[in-house]
Amino acid sequence: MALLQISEPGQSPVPHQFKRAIGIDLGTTNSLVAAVANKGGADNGVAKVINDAEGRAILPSVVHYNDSGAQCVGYEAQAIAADDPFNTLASFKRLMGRGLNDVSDTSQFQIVTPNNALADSTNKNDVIRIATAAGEVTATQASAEILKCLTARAADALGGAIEGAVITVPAYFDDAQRQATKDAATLAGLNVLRLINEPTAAAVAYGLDKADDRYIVVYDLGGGTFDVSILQLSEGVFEVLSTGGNSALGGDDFDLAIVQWALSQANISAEQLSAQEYRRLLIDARAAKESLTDNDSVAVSIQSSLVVWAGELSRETFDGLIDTLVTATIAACKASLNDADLTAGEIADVVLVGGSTRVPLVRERVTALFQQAPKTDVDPDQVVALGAAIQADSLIGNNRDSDLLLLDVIPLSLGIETMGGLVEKIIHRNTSIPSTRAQEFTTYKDGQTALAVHVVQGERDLVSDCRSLARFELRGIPPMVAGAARIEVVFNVDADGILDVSAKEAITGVSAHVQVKPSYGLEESEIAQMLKASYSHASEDRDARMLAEQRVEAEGLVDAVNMALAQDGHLLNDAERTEIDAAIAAALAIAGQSDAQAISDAVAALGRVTDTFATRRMDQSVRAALQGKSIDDVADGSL
Amino acid sequence: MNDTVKLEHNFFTLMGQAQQFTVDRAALKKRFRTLQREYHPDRFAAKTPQEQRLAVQFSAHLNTAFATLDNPVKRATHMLELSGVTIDHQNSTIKDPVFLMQQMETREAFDDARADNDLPALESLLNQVNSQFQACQQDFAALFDASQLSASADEKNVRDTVGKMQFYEKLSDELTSLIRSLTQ
Repeated sequence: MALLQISEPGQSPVPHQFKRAIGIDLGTTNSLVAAVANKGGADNGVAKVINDAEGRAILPSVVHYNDSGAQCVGYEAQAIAADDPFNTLASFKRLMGRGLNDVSDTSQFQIVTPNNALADSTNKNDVIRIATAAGEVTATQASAEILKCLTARAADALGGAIEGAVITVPAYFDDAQRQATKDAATLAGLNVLRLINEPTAAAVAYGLDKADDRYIVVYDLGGGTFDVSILQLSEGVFEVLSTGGNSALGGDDFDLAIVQWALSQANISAEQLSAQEYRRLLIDARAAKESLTDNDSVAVSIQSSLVVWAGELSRETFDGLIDTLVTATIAACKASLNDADLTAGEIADVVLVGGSTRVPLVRERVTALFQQAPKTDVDPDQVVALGAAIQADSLIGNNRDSDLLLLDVIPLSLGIETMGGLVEKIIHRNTSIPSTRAQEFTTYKDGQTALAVHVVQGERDLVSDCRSLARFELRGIPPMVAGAARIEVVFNVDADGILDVSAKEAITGVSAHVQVKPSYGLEESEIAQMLKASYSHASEDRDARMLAEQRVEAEGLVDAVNMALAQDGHLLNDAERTEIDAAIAAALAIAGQSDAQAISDAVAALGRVTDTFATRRMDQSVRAALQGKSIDDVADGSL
Repeated sequence: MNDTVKLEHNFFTLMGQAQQFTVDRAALKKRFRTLQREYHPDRFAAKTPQEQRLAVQFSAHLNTAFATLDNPVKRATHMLELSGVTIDHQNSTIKDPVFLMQQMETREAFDDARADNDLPALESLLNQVNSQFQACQQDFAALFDASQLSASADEKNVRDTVGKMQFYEKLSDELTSLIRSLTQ
């Protein structure tokens, strides 16, 4: 539809309707879902994490496959991992939007699957595929399983279908990785309102968006990864100034340090333990680490067929064991400060994310570096999901009073290849998004009839040092002398940082267009195919839901059009008005029947005939705004 | 195509600023934020694809307008464009021999200081370039307001001044990033 719902000041066009929107922290080790409860309910507009039936908030990011597909996820999949490691994928976020070219360190995919079983179809430029009992699986598909599980959990808890979601991604994710995350949501049947950066979400959860201008550090120590981000908050706008970290350092390494200590104390080696005994020791080590957060010492024991050992681990000894690891995170913080051209003293707030930030030594060192106690009131495991939920609630329109607006910048420059393998940057890094830039190019040979456009991302000058995003060709340029053709290449980056490129020859109007589905992403047809496969399981349920959804959409659109006509009918001439009235009647008639596709078509048709109307209304609104009238005089903010 | 919002192409009008070189940056930023609050695509996330598309268009336009007025070289170029003068930054040449000589000397000093990793020299060079840049901006403001580009001689002069501004900006950026990399 295409309508700006403009109403009297202080009046909503429709009675306030609560929409179910969720925030998802799609993590490397663990994932969570959160939502803001309906106002007026018991929790009155507070963001809360949604637990599973067993009362657990965390869903381990693990998927187990068998020959009929994804068989189970989360704790259940984790439990099977030891028995069936080859068909159980973990930490697959490390491979999102990644090709073999990007993963120089093979240990990255050994974490995901121990057998290193890359499918034969994986070639250097393609997205990495892993062989499982269910066939070839990508990180995007595995992520979709996690998203499906969390969405179903949320739908149960909130009492109905989820209408939109905000998913968090690391600040350093590039176009391909963001696109892969969006693809996963599409596969899961989830409507993505926005992808937001994890550190920004954490800052939002603390309500820092309402604070005065300042610099914020987000220290995120997860199970297997460490990220530090430095954010600048300027007049309510968050900007990521720098990011750093270590993708192979996390709380799991603390556990391993305790295991090593216990083994040396007991004077045995890891090889002397059975796999099961070793796993038990690892679990005990984790429990010991957690216990040392509140206690000065903890009992640790090894029970194996060879040796029975029991000892006491003091906080002091533990601090000594993890000292190098924590020092490495502090060094990364210092490097990020340098990158942002700031000193530790200039930081106003330090936000902790990730369960491992509960470790006292971590808090001590962070406090010492930034000369202030970090923020800890919000559960560090949940803080990212909670921030995402707050943003989702605002985006879906539940919280009309919300002033929250996250203006983002593009993390890496976008450009195209020019003669000699050089990159011509079209959109520079740190440009505010959304962004549209156009650049003119020309032919370099007489009679040249085609132009290859190679889109790359990165800061370097040579194409070979940048990441290749897409290639397409503009054909059918009439033969002219070199330099006569005028080809305009337009880059459009949306608010999620996802790129769309088009090229047009000015004289003839020949054009070509590509939605950048990086070489590493999934093709549109591939997604359609996967969606179809997932539908075939519960097709009847889905048909019924689709019909219901289409009807709701048709009715909503008709209401909105009627409201717009009542208000701004004068913007239309008689013929246009007649056409719209006819389309409304048609949509209403078809909505009464049970053909979901026909309803969808009618909705699309009504959308088309109201295009011009919508545009005129937008123009009217913008003109009014530009004339210096308060926006509140023309609309109540509910455009 | 009837699905495009009529975009205001005079960025001064769009941003509620007088059409002159000196801008009130605080007011500019405030205006930008007010408009983004209304038209950012996030405000349309729950709306229809068409509304979202219109919002992306308008929001991107606002970003361009803000970035243009916020940057002296882009702002000057935009002012010339509004007066019907286009500048081809890549192919324009400055023929002022005094300026060219001065630039060659600055370049040499830059190269020497870089080769020696001479931080104090680089910093003093940066200060010098920045004050020249500032002076150049004042020249532009004076020229443009005085002439309003009435005579072609003025046009040439104004063009050259923008070319010089661009020169100083580039040099200043290079010096800043070199100094930053040396101090880390």
